Amino acid sequence: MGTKDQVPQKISASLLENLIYLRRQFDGSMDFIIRRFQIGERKAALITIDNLIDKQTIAQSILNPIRRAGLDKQSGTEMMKEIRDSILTTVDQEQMVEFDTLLTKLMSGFAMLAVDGCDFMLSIGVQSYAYRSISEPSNEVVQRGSRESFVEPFVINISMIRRRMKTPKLKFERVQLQSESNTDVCLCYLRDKVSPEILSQLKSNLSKIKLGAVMASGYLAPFIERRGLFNGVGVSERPDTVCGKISEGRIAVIVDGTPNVLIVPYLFIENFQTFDDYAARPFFATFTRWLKVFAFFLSIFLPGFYVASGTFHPEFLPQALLTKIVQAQAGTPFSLMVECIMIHIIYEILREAGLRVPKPLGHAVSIVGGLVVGEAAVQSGLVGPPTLMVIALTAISSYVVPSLYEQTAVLRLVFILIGGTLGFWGITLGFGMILISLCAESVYKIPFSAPLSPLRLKSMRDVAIRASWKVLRRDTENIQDMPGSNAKKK
Amino acid sequence: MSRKCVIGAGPLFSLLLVSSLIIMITVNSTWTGGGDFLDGVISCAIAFAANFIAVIPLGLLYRRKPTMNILDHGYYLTGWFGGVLALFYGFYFLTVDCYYLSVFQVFNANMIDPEMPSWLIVIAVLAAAVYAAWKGVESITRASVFILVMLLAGLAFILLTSIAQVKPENFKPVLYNGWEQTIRSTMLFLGRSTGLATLAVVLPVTKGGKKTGFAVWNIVTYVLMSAIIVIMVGVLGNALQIQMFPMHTLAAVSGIGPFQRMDSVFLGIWLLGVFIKIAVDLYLFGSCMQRVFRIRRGGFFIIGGALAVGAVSVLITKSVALQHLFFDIYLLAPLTLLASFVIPLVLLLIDTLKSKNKSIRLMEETLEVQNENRALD
Repeated sequence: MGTKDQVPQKISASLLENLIYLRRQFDGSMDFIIRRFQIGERKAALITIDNLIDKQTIAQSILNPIRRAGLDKQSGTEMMKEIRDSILTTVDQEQMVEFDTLLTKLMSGFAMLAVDGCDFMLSIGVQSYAYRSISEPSNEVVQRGSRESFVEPFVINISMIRRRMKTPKLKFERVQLQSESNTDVCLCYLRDKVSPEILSQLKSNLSKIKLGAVMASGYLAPFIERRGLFNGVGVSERPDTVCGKISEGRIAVIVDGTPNVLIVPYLFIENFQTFDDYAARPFFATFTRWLKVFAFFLSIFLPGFYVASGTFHPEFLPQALLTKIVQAQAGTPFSLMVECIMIHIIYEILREAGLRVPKPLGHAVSIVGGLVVGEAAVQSGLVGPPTLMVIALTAISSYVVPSLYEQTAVLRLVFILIGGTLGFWGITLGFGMILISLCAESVYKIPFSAPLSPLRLKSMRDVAIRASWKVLRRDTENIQDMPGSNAKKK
Repeated sequence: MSRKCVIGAGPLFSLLLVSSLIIMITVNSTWTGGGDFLDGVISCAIAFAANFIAVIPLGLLYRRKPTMNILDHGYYLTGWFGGVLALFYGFYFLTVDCYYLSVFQVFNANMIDPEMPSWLIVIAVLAAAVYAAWKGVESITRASVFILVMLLAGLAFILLTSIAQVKPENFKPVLYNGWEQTIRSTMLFLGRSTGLATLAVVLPVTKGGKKTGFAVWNIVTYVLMSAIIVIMVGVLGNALQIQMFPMHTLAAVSGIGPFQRMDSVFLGIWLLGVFIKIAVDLYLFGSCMQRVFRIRRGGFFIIGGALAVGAVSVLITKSVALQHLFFDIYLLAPLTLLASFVIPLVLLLIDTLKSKNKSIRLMEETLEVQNENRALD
């Protein structure tokens, strides 16, 4: 028998020893429950964790059948085998011989049946716990598409994916992490589409993760993506989006307790492709896609360009616009750059507060932010109206591509600083550096900037435009087939 | 020796096209040696043909040993002298960068007159270029695809919005004053083009249709260059002779509807072009130094090279004598001729001679063995 931290490999034949060991492991935790009972002359116990199990199922499918069976005068092992093969009516059963797997199962809501004289226990699936019901996605809202979003229990999320892809080629593979929380992580992919190299690389990356606790999928993302400015791992709360990605050879990483699923690999251009694109008419989808690209660049560069033009290159602005800016600036005490930084930071504070503030206070924050701060700042002459308008416009634009918000917010500030110190030269060079950063990275041996650079004209039917389904249906382009990809094809 | 192919032919030739495009937007009548600007169309055609001839030694060398670049050939065929060749190529790339950066500084000082000090812009350009060079040739070539698209779009916009202002009376007969200016312009265009030297170093790490890429690169360069010259002459006429940066003037006078004064577009495309050009040259300099000093990473050399380029380019802008040296054909044209044509040709000849000697030796040994066998019989 090991100590509290040293998990013994094998379960003992002595029920008492096993129970003492488990008690020590949980150290009197109030949710750890041992229900002792007799099966004939033999001692037995049912071990569970409270609130993770369905007590009615335990009574109806485990305890009652065992008692009614009238088992007696058998060895512990024979008795357990008979219970497993002939008596229990539950579907999910597994023989446990090691304590470490037993503990994981126990804390996942399985009940453990132990019989004295038997050197294994039976894990019985009786999970039942409270969880949030399936609701509408809050971040990926679509007009024409499913209204379901992922929830916290990963088994429900798995069922949501399976329901949409009724093919035996769809595989869910559990991955064991080296973490104290023993969080369930599951990889989901299509066996005939996925690149074996990407899959094995992802598994290898996951196996190397050493974390105390994995509370959300976001904990894993940094370990499975490349280091860079932009995300090489996508996140989605929509089962239909995830299914679409899986059908192109990508892998979904489902983490228990998180209503988001990670998508690997994820390329830059995917930030501009939304589910709605594929439900809308091609010409409108193409228009909105270009609009998203424009809004993304606008949200990063407009304030910087505004500061640079107003400070160093007034000749670049039309005269009427320049006059307006000059008139507005004449009454304010700060330079354009300082004004822009101030408004940008105030906006970010308001946004952060809006996210964290209790819902009943949300309206108050909006009123204070929008009316009091904005209106009062202009009225008092602290900032010019054009500056306020530029920041407001860019703030709205940044929500057009929500998956790039983090980068947009930081880059916008950086470009305000660059525009105010190095003018148009700085902005152009900064843009060049972003381009290099985009092009320098590969996600699982696939260029992050593909299929734009390296360019593949065929791929442009779902990048530069959104061609009709009559064109798109001809063949699916797998992620590992992207130009410049070094990931092995199946 | 084997190399992993890391760059596609498409991105590589996009990069070379960006380099060519910046040459085009900096031509002026002072450097081409006269006011017959339209003769430049013929110079472009000659340069176009010369490029196809100049690439032959390089192409043959590559065909013989596709995994070796010019630096490897240098060491393989000439022993220690290969180190000297690598040093030459390294410093050649830096020299070209000095030219590009100093022209840009001259442009800034004369046309834009920025409020911040010139050295600050130089530092910013070099810092960005060092970052790009650090990220490697793969990133630079991929980024150049995006930059090329912007450059072409910007140029097309400027040229198309200028067409309405073309005056037929501005066109004069070509070669009106003889061939002198045409030859000088040809030397100027060829001398500023480091495309072949770049190919000499990166060809073994390139995959895809190199021949097609080379042809497209040259054809597009020629067509664009001719278009720029024709439209500049048509719009600016005699005013070309007093313009230091006629393309900038063209951008400033062009416009359509609300889009007036395209000089910001011009500045943007030029700066992006200079940035990517310096980045790739710094990377190539680092590669040359890596080969000379047999080290794994050339990061230190990239930074050192950037500092040298910065210092020299600032010096060039301050000295008229240095400007004459760098901006004229007397320094860059011979260096480019050496790097792009003469060195590959000499190495090809050495390789051919060595192969011939080897095959003669082999034949002699075979004959000896045959004679010995006969004698024994």
